[in-house]
Amino acid sequence: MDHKEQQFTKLVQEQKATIYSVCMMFADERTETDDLVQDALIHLWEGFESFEGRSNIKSWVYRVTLNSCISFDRKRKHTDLVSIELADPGLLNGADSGSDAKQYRMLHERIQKLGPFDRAIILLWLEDMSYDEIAAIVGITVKNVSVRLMRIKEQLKQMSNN
Amino acid sequence: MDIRVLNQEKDEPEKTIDMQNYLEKNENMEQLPNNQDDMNTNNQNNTDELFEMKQQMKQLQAELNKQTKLREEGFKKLMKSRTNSFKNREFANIILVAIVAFGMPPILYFCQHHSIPFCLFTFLFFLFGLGWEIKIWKQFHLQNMMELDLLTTAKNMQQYRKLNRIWLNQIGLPFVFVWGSWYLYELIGQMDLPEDSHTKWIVIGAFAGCIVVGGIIGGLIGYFTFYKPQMKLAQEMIDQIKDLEQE
Repeated sequence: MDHKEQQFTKLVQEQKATIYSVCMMFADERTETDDLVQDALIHLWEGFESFEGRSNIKSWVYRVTLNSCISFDRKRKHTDLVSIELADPGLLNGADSGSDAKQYRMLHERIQKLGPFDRAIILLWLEDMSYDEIAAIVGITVKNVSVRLMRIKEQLKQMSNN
Repeated sequence: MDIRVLNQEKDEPEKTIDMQNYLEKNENMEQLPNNQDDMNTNNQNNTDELFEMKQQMKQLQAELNKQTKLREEGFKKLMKSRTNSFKNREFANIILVAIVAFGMPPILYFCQHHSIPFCLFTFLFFLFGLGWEIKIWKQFHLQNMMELDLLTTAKNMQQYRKLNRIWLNQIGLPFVFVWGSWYLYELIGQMDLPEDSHTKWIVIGAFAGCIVVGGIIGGLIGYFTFYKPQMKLAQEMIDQIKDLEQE
Protein backbone atom coordinates (compact mmCIF):
# COMPACT_ATOMS: atom_id res chain seq x y z
CA MET A 1 0.00 0.00 0.00
CA ASP A 2 1.32 3.44 -0.81
CA HIS A 3 1.21 6.37 1.57
CA LYS A 4 -2.11 7.71 0.26
CA GLU A 5 -3.78 4.34 0.56
CA GLN A 6 -2.50 3.93 4.10
CA GLN A 7 -3.84 7.34 5.08
CA PHE A 8 -7.18 6.58 3.51
CA THR A 9 -7.43 3.19 5.22
CA LYS A 10 -6.73 4.93 8.53
CA LEU A 11 -9.46 7.48 7.82
CA VAL A 12 -11.99 4.78 7.02
CA GLN A 13 -11.01 2.81 10.12
CA GLU A 14 -11.63 5.88 12.24
CA GLN A 15 -14.85 6.91 10.54
CA LYS A 16 -16.36 3.53 9.67
CA ALA A 17 -19.09 3.78 12.30
CA THR A 18 -20.19 7.16 10.93
CA ILE A 19 -20.18 5.93 7.34
CA TYR A 20 -22.00 2.73 8.19
CA SER A 21 -24.64 4.32 10.42
CA VAL A 22 -25.54 6.96 7.80
CA CYS A 23 -25.81 4.31 5.10
CA MET A 24 -27.92 2.11 7.37
CA MET A 25 -30.39 4.93 7.89
CA PHE A 26 -30.70 5.52 4.15
CA ALA A 27 -30.87 1.86 3.15
CA ASP A 28 -33.96 -0.25 2.66
CA GLU A 29 -32.38 -3.58 3.39
CA ARG A 30 -29.09 -5.22 4.27
CA THR A 31 -27.68 -5.63 0.76
CA GLU A 32 -28.52 -2.04 0.02
CA THR A 33 -26.56 -0.93 3.09
CA ASP A 34 -23.51 -2.72 1.67
CA ASP A 35 -24.03 -1.07 -1.70
CA LEU A 36 -24.42 2.35 -0.11
CA VAL A 37 -21.27 1.84 1.98
CA GLN A 38 -19.32 0.81 -1.10
CA ASP A 39 -20.63 3.75 -3.08
CA ALA A 40 -19.72 6.13 -0.26
CA LEU A 41 -16.24 4.60 0.04
CA ILE A 42 -15.62 5.01 -3.69
CA HIS A 43 -16.66 8.66 -3.50
CA LEU A 44 -14.56 9.21 -0.39
CA TRP A 45 -11.57 7.65 -2.13
CA GLU A 46 -12.14 9.80 -5.23
CA GLY A 47 -12.37 12.96 -3.17
CA PHE A 48 -9.62 12.06 -0.72
CA GLU A 49 -6.86 13.77 -2.68
CA SER A 50 -8.72 17.06 -2.88
CA PHE A 51 -9.66 16.84 0.78
CA GLU A 52 -6.14 16.49 2.16
CA GLY A 53 -5.11 19.54 4.12
CA ARG A 54 -8.58 20.66 5.06
CA SER A 55 -9.57 20.83 8.68
CA ASN A 56 -12.88 19.23 9.57
CA ILE A 57 -12.61 15.62 8.55
CA LYS A 58 -15.85 14.52 10.18
CA SER A 59 -17.91 17.13 8.31
CA TRP A 60 -16.26 16.09 5.07
CA VAL A 61 -16.98 12.40 5.66
CA TYR A 62 -20.58 13.27 6.46
CA ARG A 63 -20.93 15.50 3.43
CA VAL A 64 -19.61 12.88 1.02
CA THR A 65 -21.52 9.98 2.62
CA LEU A 66 -24.83 11.86 2.66
CA ASN A 67 -24.36 13.09 -0.91
CA SER A 68 -23.51 9.58 -1.92
CA CYS A 69 -26.64 8.18 -0.25
CA ILE A 70 -28.89 10.81 -1.77
CA SER A 71 -27.52 10.29 -5.28
CA PHE A 72 -27.32 6.51 -5.01
CA ASP A 73 -28.56 4.83 -8.10
CA ARG A 74 -31.02 2.20 -6.86
CA LYS A 75 -31.30 0.48 -10.19
CA ARG A 76 -27.68 -0.60 -9.94
CA LYS A 77 -27.25 -4.24 -9.10
CA HIS A 78 -25.47 -5.42 -5.99
CA THR A 79 -21.75 -5.43 -6.70
CA ASP A 80 -19.54 -8.20 -5.46
CA LEU A 81 -17.04 -5.92 -3.83
CA VAL A 82 -17.75 -6.17 -0.14
CA SER A 83 -15.00 -4.50 1.77
CA ILE A 84 -16.64 -3.99 5.13
CA GLU A 85 -18.62 -6.58 6.93
CA LEU A 86 -20.60 -6.80 10.12
CA ALA A 87 -19.88 -9.59 12.57
CA ASP A 88 -23.48 -9.65 13.69
CA PRO A 89 -26.04 -9.19 10.91
CA GLY A 90 -28.71 -9.08 13.62
CA LEU A 91 -27.54 -5.58 14.38
CA LEU A 92 -29.11 -4.50 11.14
CA ASN A 93 -32.19 -6.63 10.90
CA GLY A 94 -32.93 -6.80 14.58
CA ALA A 95 -33.63 -10.52 14.54
CA ASP A 96 -32.96 -12.39 17.76
CA SER A 97 -30.19 -10.10 18.82
CA GLY A 98 -31.45 -8.76 22.08
CA SER A 99 -32.83 -5.44 23.18
CA ASP A 100 -30.00 -3.38 21.64
CA ALA A 101 -30.78 -4.69 18.18
CA LYS A 102 -34.44 -3.93 18.77
CA GLN A 103 -33.55 -0.38 19.74
CA TYR A 104 -31.43 0.09 16.63
CA ARG A 105 -34.24 -1.26 14.56
CA MET A 106 -36.65 1.18 16.15
CA LEU A 107 -34.21 4.01 15.53
CA HIS A 108 -33.84 2.88 11.93
CA GLU A 109 -37.60 2.62 11.44
CA ARG A 110 -38.23 6.08 12.84
CA ILE A 111 -35.54 7.74 10.79
CA GLN A 112 -36.61 5.78 7.70
CA LYS A 113 -40.06 7.33 7.92
CA LEU A 114 -38.64 10.82 7.50
CA GLY A 115 -37.95 12.41 4.12
CA PRO A 116 -34.38 12.26 2.74
CA PHE A 117 -33.40 15.77 3.87
CA ASP A 118 -35.01 15.43 7.28
CA ARG A 119 -33.17 12.15 7.65
CA ALA A 120 -29.89 13.92 6.91
CA ILE A 121 -30.65 16.79 9.30
CA ILE A 122 -31.57 14.53 12.20
CA LEU A 123 -28.53 12.32 11.61
CA LEU A 124 -26.26 15.34 11.76
CA TRP A 125 -28.02 16.62 14.85
CA LEU A 126 -27.69 13.23 16.51
CA GLU A 127 -23.99 13.46 15.76
CA ASP A 128 -23.80 16.61 17.94
CA MET A 129 -23.02 18.87 15.03
CA SER A 130 -23.67 22.57 15.43
CA TYR A 131 -26.46 24.30 13.52
CA ASP A 132 -23.85 26.09 11.44
CA GLU A 133 -22.23 22.81 10.42
CA ILE A 134 -25.58 21.21 9.62
CA ALA A 135 -26.57 24.26 7.54
CA ALA A 136 -23.28 24.14 5.61
CA ILE A 137 -23.53 20.42 4.88
CA VAL A 138 -27.19 20.44 3.87
CA GLY A 139 -27.04 23.78 2.06
CA ILE A 140 -29.78 25.59 3.96
CA THR A 141 -29.81 28.48 6.41
CA VAL A 142 -29.27 28.09 10.14
CA LYS A 143 -32.80 29.30 10.75
CA ASN A 144 -34.06 26.70 8.34
CA VAL A 145 -32.22 24.01 10.27
CA SER A 146 -33.96 25.00 13.49
CA VAL A 147 -37.37 25.06 11.79
CA ARG A 148 -36.81 21.65 10.25
CA LEU A 149 -35.69 20.20 13.57
CA MET A 150 -38.85 21.50 15.19
CA ARG A 151 -40.91 19.74 12.54
CA ILE A 152 -38.92 16.54 12.88
CA LYS A 153 -39.66 16.61 16.59
CA GLU A 154 -43.34 16.89 15.81
CA GLN A 155 -43.14 13.97 13.44
CA LEU A 156 -41.30 11.88 16.01
CA LYS A 157 -43.95 12.75 18.55
CA GLN A 158 -46.63 11.54 16.18
CA MET A 159 -44.70 8.34 15.55
CA SER A 160 -44.51 7.64 19.29
CA ASN A 161 -48.22 8.35 19.68
CA ASN A 162 -49.01 5.94 16.90
CA MET B 1 -29.85 23.18 36.31
CA ASP B 2 -29.87 19.48 35.50
CA ILE B 3 -32.59 17.48 33.91
CA ARG B 4 -32.80 13.73 33.97
CA VAL B 5 -32.97 11.99 30.62
CA LEU B 6 -35.96 9.75 30.44
CA ASN B 7 -34.70 6.49 29.10
CA GLN B 8 -34.54 2.90 30.18
CA GLU B 9 -31.91 3.62 32.80
CA LYS B 10 -33.45 6.78 34.14
CA ASP B 11 -32.45 6.13 37.72
CA GLU B 12 -28.74 6.27 37.05
CA PRO B 13 -27.29 9.64 38.13
CA GLU B 14 -24.58 9.68 35.43
CA LYS B 15 -27.30 9.84 32.76
CA THR B 16 -28.12 13.43 33.65
CA ILE B 17 -27.28 16.26 31.30
CA ASP B 18 -26.45 19.88 31.84
CA MET B 19 -29.60 21.76 30.83
CA GLN B 20 -27.85 25.11 30.65
CA ASN B 21 -25.33 23.81 28.10
CA TYR B 22 -28.13 22.23 26.16
CA LEU B 23 -30.06 25.51 26.07
CA GLU B 24 -27.02 27.41 24.86
CA LYS B 25 -26.25 24.89 22.16
CA ASN B 26 -29.81 24.61 20.93
CA GLU B 27 -30.98 28.17 21.36
CA ASN B 28 -32.61 28.28 17.95
CA MET B 29 -34.37 25.02 18.28
CA GLU B 30 -37.25 25.90 20.49
CA GLN B 31 -38.68 28.33 22.96
CA LEU B 32 -37.76 26.83 26.28
CA PRO B 33 -39.56 27.72 29.47
CA ASN B 34 -37.94 29.91 32.14
CA ASN B 35 -39.37 27.96 34.99
CA GLN B 36 -39.09 24.19 35.10
CA ASP B 37 -42.48 23.95 36.77
CA ASP B 38 -44.05 25.48 33.67
CA MET B 39 -42.35 23.08 31.36
CA ASN B 40 -44.73 21.92 28.72
CA THR B 41 -45.19 18.16 28.85
CA ASN B 42 -45.19 17.82 25.09
CA ASN B 43 -41.93 19.70 24.72
CA GLN B 44 -40.45 17.55 27.43
CA ASN B 45 -41.50 14.40 25.62
CA ASN B 46 -40.14 15.65 22.32
CA THR B 47 -36.81 16.57 23.87
CA ASP B 48 -36.62 13.22 25.63
CA GLU B 49 -37.40 11.49 22.38
CA LEU B 50 -34.49 13.13 20.66
CA PHE B 51 -32.11 12.58 23.55
CA GLU B 52 -33.06 8.95 23.63
CA MET B 53 -32.38 8.74 19.90
CA LYS B 54 -29.06 10.47 20.41
CA GLN B 55 -28.05 7.88 22.95
CA GLN B 56 -29.21 5.05 20.71
CA MET B 57 -27.19 6.52 17.87
CA LYS B 58 -24.08 6.68 20.01
CA GLN B 59 -24.62 3.09 21.11
CA LEU B 60 -25.12 2.03 17.53
CA GLN B 61 -21.92 3.74 16.42
CA ALA B 62 -19.97 2.18 19.29
CA GLU B 63 -21.35 -1.22 18.31
CA LEU B 64 -20.50 -0.64 14.65
CA ASN B 65 -17.00 0.42 15.61
CA LYS B 66 -16.53 -2.83 17.47
CA GLN B 67 -18.14 -5.00 14.83
CA THR B 68 -17.25 -3.75 11.37
CA LYS B 69 -14.21 -5.37 9.85
CA LEU B 70 -12.19 -4.07 6.96
CA ARG B 71 -11.15 -6.75 4.54
CA GLU B 72 -7.82 -5.72 3.07
CA GLU B 73 -8.23 -7.37 -0.33
CA GLY B 74 -11.73 -6.12 -0.99
CA PHE B 75 -10.84 -2.70 0.29
CA LYS B 76 -7.82 -2.38 -2.01
CA LYS B 77 -9.96 -3.50 -4.91
CA LEU B 78 -12.57 -0.94 -3.94
CA MET B 79 -10.03 1.88 -3.79
CA LYS B 80 -8.84 1.05 -7.28
CA SER B 81 -12.35 0.66 -8.62
CA ARG B 82 -13.90 3.59 -10.37
CA THR B 83 -16.19 1.65 -12.61
CA ASN B 84 -19.20 2.35 -10.46
CA SER B 85 -18.73 6.07 -10.70
CA PHE B 86 -21.62 7.76 -12.35
CA LYS B 87 -19.39 10.12 -14.30
CA ASN B 88 -17.51 7.21 -15.81
CA ARG B 89 -20.72 5.44 -16.71
CA GLU B 90 -21.78 8.58 -18.52
CA PHE B 91 -18.46 8.60 -20.37
CA ALA B 92 -18.86 4.91 -21.23
CA ASN B 93 -22.31 5.74 -22.64
CA ILE B 94 -20.78 8.39 -24.91
CA ILE B 95 -18.25 5.91 -26.31
CA LEU B 96 -20.96 3.30 -26.83
CA VAL B 97 -23.34 5.69 -28.61
CA ALA B 98 -20.48 6.98 -30.78
CA ILE B 99 -19.58 3.43 -31.83
CA VAL B 100 -23.22 2.68 -32.69
CA ALA B 101 -23.75 6.03 -34.48
CA PHE B 102 -20.77 5.60 -36.77
CA GLY B 103 -20.70 1.81 -36.97
CA MET B 104 -24.33 0.80 -37.39
CA PRO B 105 -25.39 2.74 -40.54
CA PRO B 106 -22.56 1.26 -42.71
CA ILE B 107 -23.47 -2.24 -41.47
CA LEU B 108 -27.15 -1.60 -42.25
CA TYR B 109 -26.30 -0.29 -45.71
CA PHE B 110 -23.49 -2.55 -46.87
CA CYS B 111 -24.27 -5.82 -45.10
CA GLN B 112 -28.05 -5.78 -44.78
CA HIS B 113 -28.74 -3.65 -47.87
CA HIS B 114 -31.19 -1.28 -46.23
CA SER B 115 -32.27 1.92 -47.96
CA ILE B 116 -30.27 5.15 -47.72
CA PRO B 117 -33.10 7.09 -45.95
CA PHE B 118 -33.30 4.37 -43.29
CA CYS B 119 -29.53 4.37 -42.75
CA LEU B 120 -29.50 8.16 -42.66
CA PHE B 121 -32.35 8.20 -40.15
CA THR B 122 -30.46 5.74 -37.93
CA PHE B 123 -27.27 7.78 -38.19
CA LEU B 124 -28.99 11.11 -37.40
CA PHE B 125 -30.81 9.67 -34.42
CA PHE B 126 -27.67 8.24 -32.87
CA LEU B 127 -25.82 11.47 -33.63
CA PHE B 128 -28.52 13.32 -31.70
CA GLY B 129 -28.16 10.75 -28.92
CA LEU B 130 -24.43 11.35 -28.86
CA GLY B 131 -25.00 15.09 -28.50
CA TRP B 132 -27.45 14.46 -25.67
CA GLU B 133 -25.01 12.22 -23.80
CA ILE B 134 -22.21 14.78 -24.23
CA LYS B 135 -24.52 17.50 -22.87
CA ILE B 136 -25.25 15.39 -19.77
CA TRP B 137 -21.60 14.48 -19.34
CA LYS B 138 -20.40 18.08 -19.63
CA GLN B 139 -23.06 19.35 -17.26
CA PHE B 140 -22.26 16.89 -14.51
CA HIS B 141 -18.63 16.06 -15.15
CA LEU B 142 -17.41 19.59 -14.59
CA GLN B 143 -18.51 19.70 -10.99
CA ASN B 144 -17.53 17.34 -8.24
CA MET B 145 -20.97 16.65 -6.86
CA MET B 146 -19.71 15.00 -3.73
CA GLU B 147 -18.05 18.23 -2.63
CA LEU B 148 -21.21 20.29 -2.97
CA ASP B 149 -23.86 20.69 -0.29
CA LEU B 150 -26.64 18.14 -0.04
CA LEU B 151 -29.37 20.33 -1.52
CA THR B 152 -27.31 21.26 -4.61
CA THR B 153 -26.28 17.64 -5.11
CA ALA B 154 -29.89 16.49 -4.85
CA LYS B 155 -31.00 19.14 -7.34
CA ASN B 156 -28.27 18.14 -9.78
CA MET B 157 -29.14 14.48 -9.41
CA GLN B 158 -32.81 15.22 -10.07
CA GLN B 159 -31.84 17.19 -13.16
CA TYR B 160 -29.65 14.32 -14.32
CA ARG B 161 -32.46 11.82 -13.77
CA LYS B 162 -34.92 14.13 -15.49
CA LEU B 163 -32.72 14.32 -18.59
CA ASN B 164 -32.46 10.54 -18.60
CA ARG B 165 -36.22 10.22 -18.18
CA ILE B 166 -36.86 12.60 -21.08
CA TRP B 167 -34.44 10.58 -23.17
CA LEU B 168 -36.19 7.33 -22.34
CA ASN B 169 -39.83 8.43 -22.52
CA GLN B 170 -39.92 11.16 -25.11
CA ILE B 171 -37.07 10.27 -27.44
CA GLY B 172 -35.79 6.71 -26.98
CA LEU B 173 -39.07 4.77 -26.86
CA PRO B 174 -40.77 6.60 -29.77
CA PHE B 175 -37.59 6.12 -31.79
CA VAL B 176 -37.49 2.39 -31.04
CA PHE B 177 -41.09 2.12 -32.22
CA VAL B 178 -40.52 4.05 -35.46
CA TRP B 179 -37.15 2.48 -36.15
CA GLY B 180 -38.42 -1.04 -35.40
CA SER B 181 -41.42 -0.63 -37.70
CA TRP B 182 -39.29 0.78 -40.49
CA TYR B 183 -36.68 -1.97 -40.04
CA LEU B 184 -39.41 -4.61 -40.16
CA TYR B 185 -40.92 -3.04 -43.27
CA GLU B 186 -37.57 -3.08 -45.06
CA LEU B 187 -36.76 -6.59 -43.88
CA ILE B 188 -40.05 -7.95 -45.18
CA GLY B 189 -39.52 -6.06 -48.44
CA GLN B 190 -36.22 -7.89 -48.85
CA MET B 191 -37.82 -11.30 -48.24
CA ASP B 192 -39.36 -11.34 -51.68
CA LEU B 193 -42.60 -12.95 -50.53
CA PRO B 194 -45.29 -13.71 -53.14
CA GLU B 195 -47.78 -10.84 -53.31
CA ASP B 196 -50.82 -12.98 -54.11
CA SER B 197 -50.64 -15.20 -51.06
CA HIS B 198 -51.37 -14.55 -47.39
CA THR B 199 -47.82 -15.46 -46.42
CA LYS B 200 -46.66 -11.84 -46.45
CA TRP B 201 -49.37 -10.75 -44.06
CA ILE B 202 -48.85 -13.76 -41.82
CA VAL B 203 -45.16 -12.88 -41.50
CA ILE B 204 -45.95 -9.20 -40.83
CA GLY B 205 -48.62 -10.19 -38.30
CA ALA B 206 -46.29 -12.59 -36.51
CA PHE B 207 -43.54 -10.00 -36.24
CA ALA B 208 -45.87 -7.21 -35.20
CA GLY B 209 -47.69 -9.46 -32.69
CA CYS B 210 -44.42 -10.48 -31.03
CA ILE B 211 -43.32 -6.85 -30.79
CA VAL B 212 -46.64 -5.67 -29.35
CA VAL B 213 -47.04 -8.50 -26.80
CA GLY B 214 -43.36 -8.38 -25.80
CA GLY B 215 -43.50 -4.61 -25.55
CA ILE B 216 -46.58 -4.64 -23.32
CA ILE B 217 -45.19 -7.31 -20.96
CA GLY B 218 -41.76 -5.67 -20.81
CA GLY B 219 -43.29 -2.25 -20.34
CA LEU B 220 -45.48 -3.40 -17.44
CA ILE B 221 -42.59 -5.17 -15.68
CA GLY B 222 -40.36 -2.13 -16.16
CA TYR B 223 -43.05 0.25 -14.98
CA PHE B 224 -43.86 -1.57 -11.74
CA THR B 225 -40.41 -2.80 -10.76
CA PHE B 226 -38.29 0.15 -11.72
CA TYR B 227 -40.04 3.23 -13.06
CA LYS B 228 -42.76 3.65 -10.43
CA PRO B 229 -40.50 3.25 -7.34
CA GLN B 230 -37.93 5.56 -8.92
CA MET B 231 -40.57 8.17 -9.63
CA LYS B 232 -41.89 7.95 -6.09
CA LEU B 233 -38.42 8.52 -4.68
CA ALA B 234 -37.72 11.35 -7.11
CA GLN B 235 -41.02 13.03 -6.26
CA GLU B 236 -40.27 12.77 -2.55
CA MET B 237 -36.93 14.48 -3.14
CA ILE B 238 -38.43 17.19 -5.34
CA ASP B 239 -41.13 17.92 -2.74
CA GLN B 240 -38.52 18.26 0.00
CA ILE B 241 -36.29 20.45 -2.16
CA LYS B 242 -39.25 22.76 -2.88
CA ASP B 243 -40.18 22.76 0.76
CA LEU B 244 -36.67 23.68 1.86
CA GLU B 245 -36.33 26.39 -0.74
CA GLN B 246 -39.62 28.01 0.21
CA GLU B 247 -38.71 28.33 3.87
